Amino acid sequence: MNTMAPLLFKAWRESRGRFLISAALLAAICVFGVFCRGSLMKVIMPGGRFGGDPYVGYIYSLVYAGTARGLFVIMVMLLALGGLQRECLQRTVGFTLALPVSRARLVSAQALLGLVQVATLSVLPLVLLTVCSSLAQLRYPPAQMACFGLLWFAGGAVFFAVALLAATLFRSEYTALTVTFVFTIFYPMAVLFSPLNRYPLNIHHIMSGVRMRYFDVHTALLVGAPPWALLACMLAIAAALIGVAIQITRRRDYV
Amino acid sequence: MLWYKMWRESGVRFAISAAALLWMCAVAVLLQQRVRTHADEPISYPHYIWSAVYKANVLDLFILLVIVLGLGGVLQERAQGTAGFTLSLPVGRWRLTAVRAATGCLQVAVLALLPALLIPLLSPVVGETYSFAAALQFSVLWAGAGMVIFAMTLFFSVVLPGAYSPAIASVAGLLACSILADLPPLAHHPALDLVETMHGAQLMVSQHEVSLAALFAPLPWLALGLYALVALSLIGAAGAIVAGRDFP
Repeated sequence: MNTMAPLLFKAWRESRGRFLISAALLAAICVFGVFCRGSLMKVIMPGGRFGGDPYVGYIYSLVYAGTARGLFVIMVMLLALGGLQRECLQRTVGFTLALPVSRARLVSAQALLGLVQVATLSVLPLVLLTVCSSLAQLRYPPAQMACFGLLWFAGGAVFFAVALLAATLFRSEYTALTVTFVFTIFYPMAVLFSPLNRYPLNIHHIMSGVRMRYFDVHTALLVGAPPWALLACMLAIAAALIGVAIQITRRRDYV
Repeated sequence: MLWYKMWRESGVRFAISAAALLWMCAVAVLLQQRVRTHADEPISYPHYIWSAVYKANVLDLFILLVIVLGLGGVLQERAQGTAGFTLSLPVGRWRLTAVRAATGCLQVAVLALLPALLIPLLSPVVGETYSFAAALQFSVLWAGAGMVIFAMTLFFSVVLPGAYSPAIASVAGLLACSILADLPPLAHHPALDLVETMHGAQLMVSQHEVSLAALFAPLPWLALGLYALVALSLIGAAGAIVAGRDFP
């Protein structure tokens, strides 16, 4: 019998509230951003120093490098929290561990569903901005959105994996949340130190293209092929962190 | 006893938050030469500190940590099966909420004060100076606005079940506040944009002239008074909800 489907359903029931709120918030920013651009553009892009298409620059500043991206990172990390440590506090861990499946499978199902949710959130701006822009008789290049979606998914996967690992390591759900939030801000500053500053390690910059060779700051457009090597590295890091979380879960006593 | 209970519940979060904030401020100061050298335009040290600490990363971290400090409470204890023990303590529910809010507000104030203590102390290490009075002004802003964010999360923790829903609601509330404050009908009331107030852009202009005597003059007292009122209202509403609720 395939045990993955019921486990995925269990993980979905546990995280669906968070996921749906996250999707709604992200959608609200995209929709609101397009239809209230008249007012917001003056605040987000004051002075008119931008050389490219103003709408492209505005959407980039609001969504792909601004508020929406920050929200995406926070929501992705919140999606990863929970799991057996939280169930331990709620005294329901016994029921979950009594299921006839291995712990590795339990965590794998949680991680798999989480990554699907991250992918869905990454694609959401593409869908909404395409529809809303055409309704507003504007255009944002779909290829750009697809490429940013890829960058968001890879970056989001790393943040998701970090939060999953924190949720596995720390018994208190709030400690895990604190550590995860600290990591988000602490890590980009840590990579400013030598020798780390020689490499493109800042995931926030990778996701938004800031200071990256594949991004033209004058037009706010991604140029050339997507950075496949970077994307692969980030996904590999995410996989490794999820692997560590699985190993820790397998060996831990939940009393 | 209640104070000790509240401290035990949030002590680890507070300690991690304090350590993280101190570390971030220290990194901002120690990296000042490198960042200022690579800046597009030459910037003064006070301006750099403002853009690195009071306007950017450290402020974002402070806001997120305040949200985390506001989480918890009886509704969350119910999920863990310990609400009965807390409610059977010989104290009123109003008092429970009040002590929790007071502990949180104190922690927020201490966190807001940390950059003001560290940055002036550490600046001479990199051959610069930063006025304690100037740093204290930003701390007042952070503490005032931080208490609203804390009270908002406390309120959501009382209303929304689940450990993480109140955090999501608070982030959403802040974003909504920020975006709505930019729209034409509200754009003339800068106090409504909580995060913008915390940036303290108006304080940046007079960075060099700050003396202890003129410490409190340029602060937006009307906005801070409004924030105190909003925070008290939210805490009061949270107390009333906890007092009237059944926790089966």
